[in-house]
Amino acid sequence: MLFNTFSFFLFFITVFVLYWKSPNKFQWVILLLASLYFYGSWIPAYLGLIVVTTIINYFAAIVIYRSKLYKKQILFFTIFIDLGILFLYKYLNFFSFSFGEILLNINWKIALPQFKLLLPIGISFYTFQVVGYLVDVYRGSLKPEKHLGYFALFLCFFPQLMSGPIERGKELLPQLKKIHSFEYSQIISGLKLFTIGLFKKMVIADNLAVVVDRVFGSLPTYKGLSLIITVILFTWQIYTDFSGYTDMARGVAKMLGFNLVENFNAPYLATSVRDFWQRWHISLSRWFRDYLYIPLGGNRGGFWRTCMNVMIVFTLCGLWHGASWTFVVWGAFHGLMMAIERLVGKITKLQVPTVIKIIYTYSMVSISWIFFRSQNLSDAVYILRYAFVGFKSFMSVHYILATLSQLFVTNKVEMVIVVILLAIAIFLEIVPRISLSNFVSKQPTIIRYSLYVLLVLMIIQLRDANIKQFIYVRF
Amino acid sequence: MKKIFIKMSVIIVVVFIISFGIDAIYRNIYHLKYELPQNIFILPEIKDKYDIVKLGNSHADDGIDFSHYEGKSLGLASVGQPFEYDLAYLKMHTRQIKKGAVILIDASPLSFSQKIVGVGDALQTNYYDGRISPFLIPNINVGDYIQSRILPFLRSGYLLRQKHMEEIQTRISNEERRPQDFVTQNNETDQKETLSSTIITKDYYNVQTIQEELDNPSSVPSNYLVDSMHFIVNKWYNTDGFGVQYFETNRKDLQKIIDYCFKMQWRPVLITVPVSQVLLNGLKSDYMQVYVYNNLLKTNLHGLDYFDFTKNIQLTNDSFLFANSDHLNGKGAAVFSYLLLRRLIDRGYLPEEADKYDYSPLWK
Repeated sequence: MLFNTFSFFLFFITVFVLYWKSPNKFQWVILLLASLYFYGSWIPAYLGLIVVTTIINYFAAIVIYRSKLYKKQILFFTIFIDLGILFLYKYLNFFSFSFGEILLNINWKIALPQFKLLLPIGISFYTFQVVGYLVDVYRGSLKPEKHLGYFALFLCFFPQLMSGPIERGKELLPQLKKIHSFEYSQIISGLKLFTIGLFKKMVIADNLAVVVDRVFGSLPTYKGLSLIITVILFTWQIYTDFSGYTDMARGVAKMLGFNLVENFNAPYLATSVRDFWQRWHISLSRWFRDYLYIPLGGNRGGFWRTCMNVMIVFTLCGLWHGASWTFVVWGAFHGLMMAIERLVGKITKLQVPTVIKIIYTYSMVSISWIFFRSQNLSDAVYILRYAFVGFKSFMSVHYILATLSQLFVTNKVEMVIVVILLAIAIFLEIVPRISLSNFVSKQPTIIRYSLYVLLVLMIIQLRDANIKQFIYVRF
Repeated sequence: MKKIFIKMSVIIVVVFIISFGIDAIYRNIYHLKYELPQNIFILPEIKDKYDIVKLGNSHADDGIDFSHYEGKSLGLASVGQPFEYDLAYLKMHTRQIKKGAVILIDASPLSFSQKIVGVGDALQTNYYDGRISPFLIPNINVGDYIQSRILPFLRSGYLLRQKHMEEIQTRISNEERRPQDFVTQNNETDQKETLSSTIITKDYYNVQTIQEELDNPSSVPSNYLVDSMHFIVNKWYNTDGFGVQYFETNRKDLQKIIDYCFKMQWRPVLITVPVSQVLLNGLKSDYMQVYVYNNLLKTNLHGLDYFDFTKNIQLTNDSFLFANSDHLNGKGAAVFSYLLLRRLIDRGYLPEEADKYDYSPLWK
């Protein structure tokens, strides 16, 4: 059940009414049942998986907290089980296939098995969330949750189950136990957030996807500027898709009285790749920093050791996104860029204007998105190889018109829509949300409501007829 | 809470009114009408009810021709239609089918391995036109149904863009075509029309012609059957649309159809419409056993008759009866439907008077 479907709309209205109309002490029961239904509505059999994960980790955390001798062993064993399940469903086929290819290259013909396993929705997210929780309990920074119901809800809380944000135990668990009272301002704020997220996803991301999918679907017919424009469109597609999802998740949670962590902070205004990761998918960056980078030694082992740690972390971060070499290269590329930035920062003290830094970071991140979006490495290499063909003509009006004509199949309506939506996406990125929100709230009622009507009207009229999945849901 | 719902409702109502206005302008410009659903509920009772009904996918749709059957017949077979939809279709027509009516259920070579239709699968949109009530369409995508049929004015923005896009695509493809392409294409069309009009003639409702065809199978080159066979074999074995994992669900759906027929006091008959021998040879030798017969053995058929026409080599070997490796053509349908009718009469499902085929001597 995706946030942008009619079934979710009906589901949420029901949950919303039941939740706020039921006595406080039963609110968590409503949420837990709703979350299990939400998860089970996809493949009911996979409910067993999340239930098993819940039970194992619930008891493991309590044992880790109480045990004095085998703390570490139990922690590692439980993490091994958690990551083992993730590996089984997400990576087994990938590694089996890759290993088979290697064997084939050395003329060793062994048919390694491929399993028909569907990736359980949200498995990467809730596995990381629970591993973080276990480590926090092990470190003593968090007491284990003794109430199985609250713990189960911590793991499968439906607003953030599919694609995060990856929450910390110490941030979400207290909220689950808190008595929530109906606050008009919070509900309205959540509703606005959800609507903006829906707008980003259904209007901006899905419309940009029309062009992006067309080009990536028949790459050999495109060269030069058309490839560059497509990559730019994809940078905004993925951003509005994922941040749209996050806004919706946070909006839904807010309407139920919860505050989930912010996942984005104007990432395309970052002044370095390192800065980008402090603004993009913040909950994941934070997880990798606290539970992998720092345990690996962080930046305490000297320059080269730090660079190696960064490379390890980001390569694994790439692999976390998907079982494919394109994601591994994407992650490794980010790691490499950060290592280079550190090196440059060490050997020079060059003062570069902020605008240049932003342009540089956006360009690097855009190059990395090529790997992220491509079906395979050869597609990515094709784009890198042919994107700058005819570079000298890039400024020619005829060339630009011909490119636009090819990209939009000479459809001026589509072109105008895409340009307007891109402008809106950039505007939303540049203008801080709080300023925008304050500006809107200061307007007279008629103007304010006209803006809301316009927003909803655009969602309804400009959306694609087919519901498109969120990009990050498949991770 | 009430305040929030009221405010939301006001915004939504205003948006609906504006959308309705936009849509009215759009439909006025392009002279378009709404495609509202024809039938929301199951069909009403009629006086003259159906005597014989066919269910199944395109094999049955193309292969069973009721033209020369006496009695009122109903075709409920359709392209890619799984058992689940057969049942929905039957329920839709429940009040219009006579007690004791013959229900022909086609257990085709792909019926059990066909992928289950899920929410959002394209197949279900085929049934939005009212053929099946939205309450009966299995796993209906409610949101999709509502936005396309109940509130179509909410998608004029999308329709406008689609229309614009299609027009331009057509223009581009027309501009890219060379004049000689049109000449060739027109000639091809003429030839096809001539060929089809000579192949499917009224003669094939003449029993003597049918018998002659069966005794002396037409020998035409069957290269097109071989090409089609390769395509089908790959499709049935190697694509996501088919697989042994769907056996159980499809078997259960067949069971539901049979049980429903008995409940309604109809007489179900299982058949398998013939496919070409070229296809049967291209599939693994145990294909029919594994994909069809074993599934039938596991189903509680309540002793109902099963007529498997893939074993009739007079039919399967005659390449002139097939449009492609797994579909009969018009002539094949006439020939096969005659044999099916005779079988139904011989087994007492239909009276002798049901046979309206032409028995006059061909050459007077």
